[in-house]
This record gives sequence, structure tokens and C-alpha cells, in this order.
Amino acid sequence: MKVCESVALCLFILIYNSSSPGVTAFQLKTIYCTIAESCDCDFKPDVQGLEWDLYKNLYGQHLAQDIVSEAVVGFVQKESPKVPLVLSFHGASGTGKTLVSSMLGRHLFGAAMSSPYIHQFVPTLHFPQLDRVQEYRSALKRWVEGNLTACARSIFIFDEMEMMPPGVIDVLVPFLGPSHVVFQTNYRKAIYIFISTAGEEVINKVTLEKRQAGKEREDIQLGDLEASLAQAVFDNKNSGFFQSRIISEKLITWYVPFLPLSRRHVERCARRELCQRGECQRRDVMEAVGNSLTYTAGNDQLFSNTGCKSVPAKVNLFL
Amino acid sequence: MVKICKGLIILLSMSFGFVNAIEPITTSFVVGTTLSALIGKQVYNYFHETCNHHWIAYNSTGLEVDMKRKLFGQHIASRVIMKAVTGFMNNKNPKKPLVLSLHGWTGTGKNFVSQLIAENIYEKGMTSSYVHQFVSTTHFPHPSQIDTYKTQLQQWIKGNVTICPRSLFIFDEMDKMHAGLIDSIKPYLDYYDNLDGISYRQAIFIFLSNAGGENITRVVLDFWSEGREREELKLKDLEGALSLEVFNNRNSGFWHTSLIDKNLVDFFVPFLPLEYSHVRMCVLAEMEARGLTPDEEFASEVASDMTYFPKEEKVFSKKGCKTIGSKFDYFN
Repeated sequence: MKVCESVALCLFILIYNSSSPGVTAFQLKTIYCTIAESCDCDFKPDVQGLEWDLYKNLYGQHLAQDIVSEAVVGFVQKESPKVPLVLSFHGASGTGKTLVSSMLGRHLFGAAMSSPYIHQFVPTLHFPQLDRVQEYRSALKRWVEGNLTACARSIFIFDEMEMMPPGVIDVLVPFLGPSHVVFQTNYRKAIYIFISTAGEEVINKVTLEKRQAGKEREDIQLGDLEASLAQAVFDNKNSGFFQSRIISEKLITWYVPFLPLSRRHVERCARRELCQRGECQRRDVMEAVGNSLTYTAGNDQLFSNTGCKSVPAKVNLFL
Repeated sequence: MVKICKGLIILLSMSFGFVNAIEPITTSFVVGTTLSALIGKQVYNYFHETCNHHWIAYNSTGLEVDMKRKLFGQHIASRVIMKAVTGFMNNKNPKKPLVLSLHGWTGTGKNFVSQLIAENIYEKGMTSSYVHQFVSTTHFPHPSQIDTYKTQLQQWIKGNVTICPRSLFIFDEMDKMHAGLIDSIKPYLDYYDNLDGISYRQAIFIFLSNAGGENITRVVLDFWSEGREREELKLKDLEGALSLEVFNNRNSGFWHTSLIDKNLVDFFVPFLPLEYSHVRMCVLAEMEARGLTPDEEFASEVASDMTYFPKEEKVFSKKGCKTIGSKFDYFN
């Protein structure tokens, strides 16, 4: 597309020189953006693709599907949102939290997860030592500030929040609130995603109760979980959000709970793996994989311990 | 740089037209360097190991044959490893790196199997520069320096996967590794698309340890006492007990680490203790390797000389197939 961009450049120069002083930079930028591909730091929201992906590839998470698609779609379509979108994913391991964040990355940026405007932080790698919290705070603040100036539509993903040293994440409080535009940088267009397993006991307990009461999984509403989830995360010493102002000042836009997966969902994960290898019809492999995983919760062994995490490996074993 | 060269070559060739003559020295120099630049890289790649399919190519039949002929008494391990490695190497788009955890009694073939895997993937086998082996007692000896080791290990893995995504990392003596050291590389084993721009999805991590050996032996002994065939033993009989024992064993490098919490280990591969018949086969294989003619009587003599446990039943060799080589000189 280098040719197109050079043509666009020639057009500007012509227009700029020939037309009246009324031509503004904004109009030139609009012309440029309609021709060139990368504009506004490669932010190309594919709303339909995202919804399709969420509903087709995420199993057993009706709450996550609804909340994420509603929140994200509403947010990206607004030209000037009032607050940044702050999502907090909670749930047991293997339920799809990192999967959803990579779906977001894939459908919001042209270059998918390898886009330089998606920043993923893993505390074990980036914030490993507990005695260097002050260093991490200033480094994180500078990083976020700098990248928001470069690209207002950045996505910041904080994975494994339960390993985060407490106090580090609070440095983001000014960025998450309804701050005004500072030096032409609009801090309110960014997306922040926090992923952790904190609060999984609360979620598992509620899911089990509903199941034992004979209700459908889809009957679980966010309202049942939200308040107790926020409280559990705030009080949990190991959550990275321990006594954090982010929760006390209600800066999290949406809490997204991920429910534990039952055997049915695990078999669907296995089916998807098989279809990827072209062996869709092998029901025996699906059942073998379902049998080989361990289940807990209650006396009936209802929910898979590890979600869908060891499914691809087990598929290899039984195929 | 390339553009400047191209420009100069074009200028040189245009000069023919102007003067109707070829300048010999400059022309031969330019032609010579161009040719060597084109061919030289290929020749270099031919002799020096690079990260491409000439030096890294999985030979699944080779691995199968090797395990059938050289690994004795491990029917579960050979099956699981074949399936795991073949499935992983044939998958064009793996979602996470392959993580194998080999457990079992000493001398049962864990190191040997990792060598076989390396030899059937990398042209240069264990001497390949893309195969990295860490022995915890050698590379991470002092518990006080754990933080340094963590940083160094992370950087080593990050650097080597950048050079070649299909790297193999073998961690030996996991049961002696400091709990928490393995936590530092946990993100590399997870389902991330990329971390800081580098994708770890094509790497292979193998963890070797003796942890869980007693549990496995107990299960195999029960089978033997009931008079059942060793080959009837299935992975499921061992798997559950194995990961719990490894997880709760204070001495194990996996003690309370999130590797098991997050289920990042793809396969726990149990290595069963070896019986008299297997030790005999080891001796015969060793004789062949040394170029001697296989002698059944000699093999029986050497095998009977090994110590067996438990005290009454005397079923399993205490040291597996280790120290057989030294017995050769003793008996000859």
C-alpha cells in the first residue's frame, strides 16, 4: 500500500497549495484516513467478527459472552467515551479468560495480538520482586502514559493479577477514572483488562448452588455475583487488588465472572480440537478425553478441575 | 545497504555502454562478491547449524524404532511419549509449548528417553545448540542465590527461543530444584499468543525427576502381587496418585507450584521400576553396543548380581539399569 500512501501524499500537497486557507488539517487527515490503511494506530474494530467469535468459540460462559460483547461494542462505537473501559475477568483456571482477551485483541486491531498497541503484563515476568514495588510503580506509570500518548486506543492486559505485588496497580487510578483530556491526549479511549483467579471460590459456590437447586446454568445473573465478587477480591491478600483504591472507588466498569466448566463443555472443547485437525467425527476420542479429566465440586463430580486446559494434549494422546 | 550495492552494480554495468569496454578488476571483484554472497550463505547453512528444516526435522518412525529397541519395560512411557511428541510436532499451530514431566525410579530410562527425543528431532542430537539441559545441582546449587537464578533462567529461555522457536529445554533433577524457581518460567509454558513479542508455542520443555517413584512402585507391586500382567497397567491407574504425590512432596521441585495448579504440564509420564527380565535385556543391549557377542548366560549372571527390592519379593532392581557397565569388567 506504499503506492496508495504516496498518491495520497501528492494529493495533499496539491490540495494544500491550491485551495483556500480554509482547508484544515482535520480535513486532510480525513482524506488520508479514507485512503490509507493504518490510521488511528491500526484500530479496526470488527464488531461482528468479535460477537461471532465469542458466541462460537467460547463454551459455557453465557455471562462473559453477554457482558463482553455489550460493553466492548458500545465502547468502541463511541467516538469520545466518558470513561475508559475497565474489565475484570475472574474465574478458575482454564475457563477462557485469556482466550477472551486474545479475541478482543484479534478483532480490535488489524495486526491481532502482535500489534504493538496491545500491552500484556505478566507479573511473574515483569514485576517479579516484592521489594521493588516503587520502581515498578513509576515504570508502569511512565509506560502507560507514554503509550496512551502514542495511541489513545491502546489495550492494556494485566494477566495473573494474583501474582501482582500489592500496591503496584494503584498507580493506574488516575488513568481509569473520568479524567479530562491532557495535552491533547484523550486518556478515556483506552481499554484495561485485569485477569485473575481471585474470587473463584465465590463463583464456584454460586454455580454449584444453582445447579443443586435444579436451576439452569443460564439463569445465573451478574447481580448474583457482582457484589460478593468485588468484596472477595478486595479482601483477598493474594489478589493484587488487596485493599486497592481501584475497587473502593468503583473504577471497574464491569466484573466478568467465568463459571467453572462441566463435562459437556470439556467435550465441546475436545470436539473443536479434533475439528482443527480434520477429525470431527471421532466421538470416541471426545468421550475418552472427557473420561480422563478429573472433576470436583459436590458429590456428583460436576466441574472440571482444570477447565479446558489439558484438552489439546489429551486429544493428542487418544487420537 | 542492499540498495547501495544494487545501485553501484547498475552504475557499473551502465558504464560498459559509455566506454565500450569492461574494467577487469572492478568487474571481477563485483561479480565475485555477488556470487559468493549468493552461494556462500547456502554453503554456510549447509555446514553450520541453523534453525531450519535441514537441521530440525522430526523423525517419528525413528523415535518409535528407537524406543522399541532400546527402552525396556516402559510400555506406558513409550506410548505416551510417542503420541505426545508426534501430535505436537505435526501440529502446525500449537496453542502452547509441549511440557512433559517424566517421573520414576532411578535408572529406568528418563534421561535416556530425552536423549532419544533430541536425537530424533535435531540433526545433531544432544550436541545441537538448540537443545539446553539444566541440572539443578550443577546450574542452581546455592539456595541463597535463587533470585539471580530466576532472572538468569528467564533471560536464557527468552534469548534462546528468540533465536530458534523450536528449542528443547531439559530440566534434570527436578526434585532437587528450589520450589519457586520453576514458577519464574511458568508464563512461558502457558497459553499466551506471545510474550513481549516472542512466541514460545513451538518450544518443548521436559522435566525429569525421581519424585513419585515410591507411589508408582507401590502400584506396580500391587499389580504384581495380584498376579496381573505388567502390560495391563494403564496410565489412568497411575496418573491421579502421581500428580498428587508430586505436588505435596516437600522435596519435589513442583511442591505447591502453580505448574500443577494451572495444569500447564501436558503429560505426567510414569517410569515403572525394572524387573529381572528387563535388566537382562539391558545387559544384552550393552554387550551389543560394546561390540561383544551377546551371551545369554553372562547376561543372567550380571542381572542376578544386582540388588532387588522389596525384601521378600525381590522383584525390582534397586538401581534400574545403572552400573551395569562396570559389572562387565568384574565378571570378565
